[in-house]
Amino acid sequence: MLNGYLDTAADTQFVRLNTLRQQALLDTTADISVRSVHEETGAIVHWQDSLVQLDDGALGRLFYGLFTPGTGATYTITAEAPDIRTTEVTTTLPQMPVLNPGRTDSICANGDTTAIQIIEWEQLDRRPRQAELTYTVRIPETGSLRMITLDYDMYRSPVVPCLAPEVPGAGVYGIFLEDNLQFILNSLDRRFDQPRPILEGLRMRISVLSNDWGVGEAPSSFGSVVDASASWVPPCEAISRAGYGLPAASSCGG
Amino acid sequence: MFRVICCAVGVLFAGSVLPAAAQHARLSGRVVDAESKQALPGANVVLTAADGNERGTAADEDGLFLFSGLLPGSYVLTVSLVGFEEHSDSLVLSLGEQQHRVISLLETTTALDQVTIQEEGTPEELEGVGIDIIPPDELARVPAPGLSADLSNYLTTLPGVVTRSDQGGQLFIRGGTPTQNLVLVDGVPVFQPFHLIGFYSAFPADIISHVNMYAGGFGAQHGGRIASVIDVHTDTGNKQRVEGAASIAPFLSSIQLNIPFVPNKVSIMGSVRESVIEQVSPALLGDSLPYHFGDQFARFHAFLNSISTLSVSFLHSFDEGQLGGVDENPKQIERDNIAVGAHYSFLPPTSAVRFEARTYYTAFRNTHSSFFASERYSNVTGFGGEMVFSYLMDPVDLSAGIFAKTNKFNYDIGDGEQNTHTTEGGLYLRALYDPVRTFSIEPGLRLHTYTSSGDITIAPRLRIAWEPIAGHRFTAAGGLYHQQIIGLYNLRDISDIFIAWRPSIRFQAVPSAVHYLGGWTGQILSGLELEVEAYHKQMRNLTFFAYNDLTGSTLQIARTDGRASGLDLRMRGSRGPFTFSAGYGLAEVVYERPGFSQVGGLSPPDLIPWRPDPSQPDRSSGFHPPHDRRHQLDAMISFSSASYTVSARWQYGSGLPYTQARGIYSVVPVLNPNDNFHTRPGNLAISFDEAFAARLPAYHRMDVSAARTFTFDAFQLVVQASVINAYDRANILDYNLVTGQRSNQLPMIPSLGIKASF
Repeated sequence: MLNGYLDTAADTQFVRLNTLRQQALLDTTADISVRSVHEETGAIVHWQDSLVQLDDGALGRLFYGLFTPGTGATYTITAEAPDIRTTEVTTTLPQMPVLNPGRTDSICANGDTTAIQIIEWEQLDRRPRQAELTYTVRIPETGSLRMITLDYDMYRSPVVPCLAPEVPGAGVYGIFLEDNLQFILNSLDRRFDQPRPILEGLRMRISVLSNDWGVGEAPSSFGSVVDASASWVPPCEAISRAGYGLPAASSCGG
Repeated sequence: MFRVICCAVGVLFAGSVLPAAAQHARLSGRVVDAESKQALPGANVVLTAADGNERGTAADEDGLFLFSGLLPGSYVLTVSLVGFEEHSDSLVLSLGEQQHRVISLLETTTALDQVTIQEEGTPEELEGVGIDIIPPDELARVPAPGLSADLSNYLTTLPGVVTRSDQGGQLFIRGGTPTQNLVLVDGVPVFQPFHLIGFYSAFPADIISHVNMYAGGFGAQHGGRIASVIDVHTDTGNKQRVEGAASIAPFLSSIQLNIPFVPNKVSIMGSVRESVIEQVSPALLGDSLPYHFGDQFARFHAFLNSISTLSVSFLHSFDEGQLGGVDENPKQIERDNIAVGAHYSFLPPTSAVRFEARTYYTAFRNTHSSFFASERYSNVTGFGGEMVFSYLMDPVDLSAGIFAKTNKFNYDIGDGEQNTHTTEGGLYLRALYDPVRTFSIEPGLRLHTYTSSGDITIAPRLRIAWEPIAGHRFTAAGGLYHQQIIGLYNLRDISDIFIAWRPSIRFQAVPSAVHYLGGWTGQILSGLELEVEAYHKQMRNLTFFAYNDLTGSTLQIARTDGRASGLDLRMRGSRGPFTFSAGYGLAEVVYERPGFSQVGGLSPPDLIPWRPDPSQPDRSSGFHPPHDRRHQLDAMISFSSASYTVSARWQYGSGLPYTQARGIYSVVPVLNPNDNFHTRPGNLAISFDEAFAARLPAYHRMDVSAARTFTFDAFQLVVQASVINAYDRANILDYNLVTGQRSNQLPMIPSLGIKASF
């Protein structure tokens, strides 16, 4: 049986091999080959065998393939041995999400409190498993750049009332610029009465899992993950309303 | 339902106080052993009128009999019972007279030319298909490791009775499972009556009067189980003198004592047995048999007067042991039974009705623990009562009974502690019509309410017996049976004998079965009897554990339907000092592929053992459960003289179904990119092939025993030597897939035992 996943963010793919055997320890010498087939093109990659020491000291077999999988493609990984039944796993990678530039400049105020920017990832039919938001700010006194990263899952980006009557899609996020400022100041060890850091830009990275994750024939478990990232600069109005220092006028989004 | 029961009680009581018609006479009596004054149930009582007309009956379990509606005149009363000299007496009954007699039978000292295998039953019982009436001396013929002859060892000689191994104490009777058998001791239900070592039950032969074994088609007086009834009646006790016995042997040592508390009226009888095999097996066998078990029994029995009796019975049994498992991490099982009951019977002097009342308390506890799974336990207690009214009017005997019982359950099978209870009750009617001695018909009807399903079930029963030619009897029996409380156990692991008792699944129909039986019994030669029985049982809503192999200990409850069919042949006879018997059973048990109730929240696709293998061709929708023994053969011969008894027994059983394992693998689930599958060891799991598609090797074994009796003035001494598994056949018990360790059933075990009795 095969356990692992394909990752578009990696140029080397791994899969752990387990065999049905008559004793507790794995036979690491059995003649087994692993290959992957890109179903759309028929391209074949032969994976290499390696031994790894497991956490309990026993040996395990880890096969690796030197390639980066394409988004939206379907791959079948096959393990074959002369006297063992062939095992196959198949995964279809999600499409690469793209940040819609037309939405990054939308802002709204949640009542009379927080300045929020609405962004939307397209080609996304499911909520990403993981999302990170990185603030790039410049310290006014020194001019140095600092990057502060927050986890930006559903907890930090709930449904935003001011979007009504629109129904937010899976890729819609509310970027809580004003709320996040306190976190930024704490990370920079700056007081609220000191000159505000200049918001030079935002970068978001999301991980999207394939639909076949954990669905295949047990006990094999295989899937795939696509990582996407995008950078933008919010509109000057949003930066100013949220309380950050403004970058050069030509840098603002809008 | 309550109003129906009240009306029925009113009618029954009204009938009981109405005097017999003034112009008819009445003869009642009690049959007892002349020496011990013990009641002799089953004694044949025949009343012959001057014109030659005969009326016959049999003494009940208290030795009582009754003839009512007699015309005045002269009669001859004849009482007979195997092992006793026939008693004959003449009497005269006048108009409206009521006579009561105590008939004392003398034990015969002459050797019998022919062993009569079947005794006459009680008025309610007819021998024939599905019924065996077992006297205690039959139990002693079976070779055993010690001098404590036992019911369990005898039952395994019967065709249609299957055991999966010689350990565990599980009897599968004509396709039914152990938890579908109703075992009674003096009317008290016992949840687990068989010890871990298969030779022994909680009933040594020394305390038994007789056993009524119903392998199917039992009458309306029994209910709550769908496979069989084993109805154990213990001795009423010697009311003349003190008796006792003590024995010592490697497996089991015992002490029995009987005291006439009030001579001719009250006796107290007790028995204590305990195993010593755990201590002696290392020296005897070179290996340890890790079992400790025992039982205690006591009975108080009193003839309150000539027409009423009272008895109280108490039973306690326990078992501790390790079955299968890995040497360092065995599976530990502990079991404990308590059963207490009281029985009162009364034969009113002015009525044709016999009245009986019973009440009981029964409790069972078992726990199971192993290295690989958390401890499981199951505790069940039951309390119940019954009243029975029997109208004894030749040629029709009518019985009506009212019963009620409640059971309380406390268990944890791995998904948290559960507490629940059930209540059931109802009534039954039985009639025995025997217009001529060669034909009888016994219809019955049982009305039963169950709280778990909210249903009222109506279960018809019927038995017909016909003897067209002397010595050749045809019988047929059948009926509908239900069971509210169920015992769940691991169908797949033979060494996992833990049973979880619980109510049937709420708001779903209770398990049920329809029995069809037919058979013939006849003397084919002088001293040789042949019995042929065929049966078919259709079972519905059977319930058992199914395991999720991927997660190991998670349980689901599976429900399915099934059927059992078979043909049992039995031949018994004697020639001079030799007695022999042979039995062959041909059977098939099939269960349908189960559906699942979602107990525990898992959905059916998670249950790997039942998922079809896409590489296999389409299979049938059924499978053979692990007690489907296709062929079973048991042969026994014994030689008895005044001082010596030698017995030999050979048993054979074709292979039982089991689930073959494809192998072991490591489970390393990867559910998200954060799961470390590179170096995580994972959990070992077993991949199983199609459920119960393979067959184990055949089982066979020979046991022999030889005993010498020394008779002295004050006591008797018996010395016995025996060998179990005389040619040391390695019959497989268990195989551990992870370690590759195989466990076998009992090896060759020689033993020497001594018993002294007075």
